[in-house]
Amino acid sequence: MANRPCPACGASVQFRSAAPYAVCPYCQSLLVRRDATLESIGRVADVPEDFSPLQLNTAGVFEGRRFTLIGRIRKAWEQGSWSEWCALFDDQRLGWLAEAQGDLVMTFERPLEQLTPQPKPGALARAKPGNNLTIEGRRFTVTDVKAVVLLGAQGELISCPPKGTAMKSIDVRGPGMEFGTIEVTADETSVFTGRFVEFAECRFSGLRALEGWTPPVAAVR
Amino acid sequence: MSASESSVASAAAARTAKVVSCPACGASLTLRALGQSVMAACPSCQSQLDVSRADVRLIQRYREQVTKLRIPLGTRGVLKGERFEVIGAMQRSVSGYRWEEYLLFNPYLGFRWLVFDAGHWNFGTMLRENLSLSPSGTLEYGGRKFTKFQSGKPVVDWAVGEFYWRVTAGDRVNSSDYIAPPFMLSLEKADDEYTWTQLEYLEPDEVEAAFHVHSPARDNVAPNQPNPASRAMSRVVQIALTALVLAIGVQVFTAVRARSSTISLGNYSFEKGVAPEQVYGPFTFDAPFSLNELTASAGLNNSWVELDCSLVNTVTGETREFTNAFSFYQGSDSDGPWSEGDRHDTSLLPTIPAGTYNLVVEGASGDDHDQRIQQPVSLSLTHDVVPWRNFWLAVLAIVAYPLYLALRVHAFERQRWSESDLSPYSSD
Repeated sequence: MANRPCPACGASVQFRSAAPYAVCPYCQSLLVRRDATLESIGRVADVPEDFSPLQLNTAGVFEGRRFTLIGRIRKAWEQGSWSEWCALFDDQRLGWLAEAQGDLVMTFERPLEQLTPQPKPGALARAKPGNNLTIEGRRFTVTDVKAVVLLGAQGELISCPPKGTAMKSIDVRGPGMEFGTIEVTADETSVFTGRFVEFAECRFSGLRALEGWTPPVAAVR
Repeated sequence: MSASESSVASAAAARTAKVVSCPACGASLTLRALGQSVMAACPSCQSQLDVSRADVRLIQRYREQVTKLRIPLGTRGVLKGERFEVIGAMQRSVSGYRWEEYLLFNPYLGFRWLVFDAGHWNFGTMLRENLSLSPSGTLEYGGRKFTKFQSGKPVVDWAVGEFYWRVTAGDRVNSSDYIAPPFMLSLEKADDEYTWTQLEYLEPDEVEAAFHVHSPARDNVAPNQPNPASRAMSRVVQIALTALVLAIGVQVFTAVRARSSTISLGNYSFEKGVAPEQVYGPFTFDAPFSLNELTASAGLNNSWVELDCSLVNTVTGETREFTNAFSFYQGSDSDGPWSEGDRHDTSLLPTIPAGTYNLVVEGASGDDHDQRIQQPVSLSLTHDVVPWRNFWLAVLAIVAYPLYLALRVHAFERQRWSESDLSPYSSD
C-alpha cells in the first residue's frame, strides 16, 4: 500500500495495487501511473447513487481465492447503466466484477491474440448477436452489442476510458455460465472472459448496509 | 442476525428508497432499485419515466388510469425463504387472455418475477445459461425433461413501477413454454435477445401468506401445476407394491404348505329304502385350522338337490353345520335352447381344527314331477385347500386405490393439456 500526492490537487491518493488508473477521491481527477510519475489526464464524474450492496473494500471469494473491491466504473448505454468493480486478488491479479440487473459476472482480461477469428480493423464494431467466435479455445456467441459511455468512476482501476470516449461493448455467452465482454474503442480492443457468480458463493464481507434489508444468511461469513 | 450485522459496514445503513418528482405531473415517486432500474412509471399520472440517469426524464405521457394492482408496489414478502419487494407490475395478454406479472427486487439477490394467471401463481427466475433445444424439440435443464406446451406472441397491455429494461405498452415478444411440473421454462425472443425464465408453481396460500393478497379460486389447470393425484400416487405406489409382494408371498407360502389331499366319501343315495341320514367317515384332518371343500355332484336334469350336512368331531362332538345345494334346468323356447344352474356345488369349510370327523348328510331332492331323483350324488372332500378367494380379494383391495388414482392422474393431465395446441390427448 502506498500514498502518493494527486498531481492536480495535492491530496493523498491511496494505492493498493499495481492497477494503472486511479481516481482522486477529492478532485475526481483520473490519474494514470507512468513509471514513477503520476499524471492527471482529466476529470471523471463520481459514480451516481445506487442501491448496490457492494462498496469499495467489500471482500469476497472467487473459486477459493480472496479478493477486495478497490475501484468501480459505471457505464451507460442508451437504455440503462451498470457497474464494474475492480477486484484485487491476494496474488495481485486483477479482475472485473460486473453488476448488472442483479446479476454478478467475474471476468479477467485475456490476450487479444487468443480471440479467433482475429478481428480486422473495424470488424468487431459491426458484430451482431448470433455471431460465433472463440476465445482461448472456447466457443462464444455474441448476445448483445451496445454503444457505451462512461458515467462515473472511483478508486483504482485496471482501465478507464477517458471522458467522452465512444465505446462498443460486445457481450458474448459461452457454454453453461460462461460469459465474456469485448470492449472496442477507436484505439484499443480488450477481451475479458469469466462466468456468472452467485451472490452467496462470493461469501462477501464488508457489504454496504441497506436500510430495511438483511443480506442472505448463506452469503455472509 | 448477528452474523449479518457484523459483516456489513458499521457506517449508517444506506437508504434504499429515493424520492424523485415526476416531470410530467410533479407528484413524487419512490425509486426502490436505483442503479438497476432504467424506467419507472409515475403512480399518479402513469407517465413512463427514464430513471437510468441522475435526471428523471419523461419517456411517454399517460392519462389513463391503470387498474388497481392486486399487490401494491412497495409490498414486501418472503418467498422461497427470501424477502422481496414488489417494484413493478405489468399486464400482458395473448388475444384477449390476460395475466399479471409483478417484478420483485432484493438488492442482494436481484430481480425475480411473481406471475398471476387465473388464480395460479408462479415464481420466476431468469436463467443465465443459454439453453438449447434437442432436435426433437424437448429440453433438459436441472435434471428434468421439459416438454413444449405452447407458444404465442404476448403483448404488454400496461406497466407501472420500476423495470430494469424499458417496457412500453404494445411491446411484443415471441414466447415458447416448456413444462416439467412444477417447473416451466419460458423462452422469450425479442429482436436478437433470447431470455429464458424458470417459473416454479406456487400454491396460492403461499403467495397469500407472503403478500397478503386475495387469490381467486382456480378454475382451470395451469400448465405447470403439479398433478395432485400424481403426488398421492407416488406416496401410495410404494405401499401398494409392498402389500402386493407381501400378499403374493403369503399366498405362495400357503400354497406350498397346503396338503390339498382328496378324501373320496362315496355316494349319497336317494333310492327308496335307504335312510335319508347317511354317515361318511371317519376321516382325519391333520392340518390345524384348515380350509376344506366339500363338492357334491349329480347328473341332474330339471331337478334339484339339497344336502343338509354336519361335520362332527368324533372325539369332542363339536359340529359344523352347512348346506350344499344345486339345481339344473334346461329346455327350449322361442329363443332356442336354454339351461340354468349347475350339476354340482362346493361348500367351503374354513378353520376346521385338526382331528377325526364324520360327515352326516341328510338330503332332499325333486324333479319336475316332484319325485325324488334316481341318480346318486357323489361326495368328495378336499382337505387343506389353498384359499384363492381371499388372495384375489386382497389383490383387488390393494390395487383399487392406485387404479383410482391413475384415472385421476390421467383426467388431470387431460385437463392440463386441453389448454395446449400440442396436447398428446388431442387425437382422442
